[in-house]
Amino acid sequence: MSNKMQWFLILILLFWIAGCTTVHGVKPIYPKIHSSEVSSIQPVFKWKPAPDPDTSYDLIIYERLNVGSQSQPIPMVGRVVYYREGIKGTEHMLEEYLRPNSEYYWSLRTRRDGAMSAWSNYDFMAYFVIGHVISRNVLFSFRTR
Amino acid sequence: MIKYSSVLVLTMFIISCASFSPINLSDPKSVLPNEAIVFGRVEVVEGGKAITTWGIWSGLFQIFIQADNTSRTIDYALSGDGTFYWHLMPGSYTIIGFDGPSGMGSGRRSGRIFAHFTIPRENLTVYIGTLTINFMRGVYSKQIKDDYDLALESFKIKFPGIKGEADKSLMQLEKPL
Repeated sequence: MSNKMQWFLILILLFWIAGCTTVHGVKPIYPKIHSSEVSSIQPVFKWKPAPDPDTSYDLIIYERLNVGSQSQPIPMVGRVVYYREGIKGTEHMLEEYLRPNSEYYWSLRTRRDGAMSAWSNYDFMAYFVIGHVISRNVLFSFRTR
Repeated sequence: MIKYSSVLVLTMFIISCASFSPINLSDPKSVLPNEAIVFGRVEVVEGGKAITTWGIWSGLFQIFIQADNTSRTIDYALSGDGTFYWHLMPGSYTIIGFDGPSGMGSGRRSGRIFAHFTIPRENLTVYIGTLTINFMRGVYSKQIKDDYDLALESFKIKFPGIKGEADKSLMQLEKPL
């Protein structure tokens, strides 16, 4: 490990006090919650089952847009690029290809007897000595290789 | 030296202004023959109260607009009650989302809107409605309202030189899935 990296990690440890991630709704297994890289442009999405075995699932994928200035882009949830409803089971291979080297948001919801849950998302909180970061109702994200 | 730096600063100022010129209508005479005048309003409501002050202390509230035939987005900062006057070429556009002060502390919040509107042809004045973004207990909802009469009255006071009625082509929110 280089000296720069060591100092960076020491600084992070010094200033980071606590942080937590709370998922609301269906919990993803693959891709992971935040900014994970998937190796395929036709990935298989996996999630944890709801308690009721009669539950089916809806899956939605949005493109990620970067708006604002190039120096300080603001990530934005873009157009819907994939949507399937009533998926039985807890995994789904996309029936279309995503674009390589691209970023996406995704979410799931449950469906049972015509009633649907809210789309799942997560809250992230991190507390530092010099401040804090709070993000609420964030969709899961991933990027393709 | 001062002379050169002045020229550089002036050039950068002109370039930065030019990047906003396609969408900011401060002078209706600047509308090109192949463009239309587009007006409407973005109303921001926090806890039941409309916000009308944006600036240095509260931070800018921006919306992002994209022509449907391009990937480039244009940002527009709200001022006052959120009434806007733009000049745009005919085509389809989408208000993609917003980014603004969080309403508490120094944080910011951004969100997805996806309100579509269409400018049918050039040489037209088009009213596209009021987009209301309503923040309540950490979440937001969005709605399109038709305030045509009120908006047209304000438009005629602001731009008395532009005669005639305005066409109505209200924004449409994408259908929720």
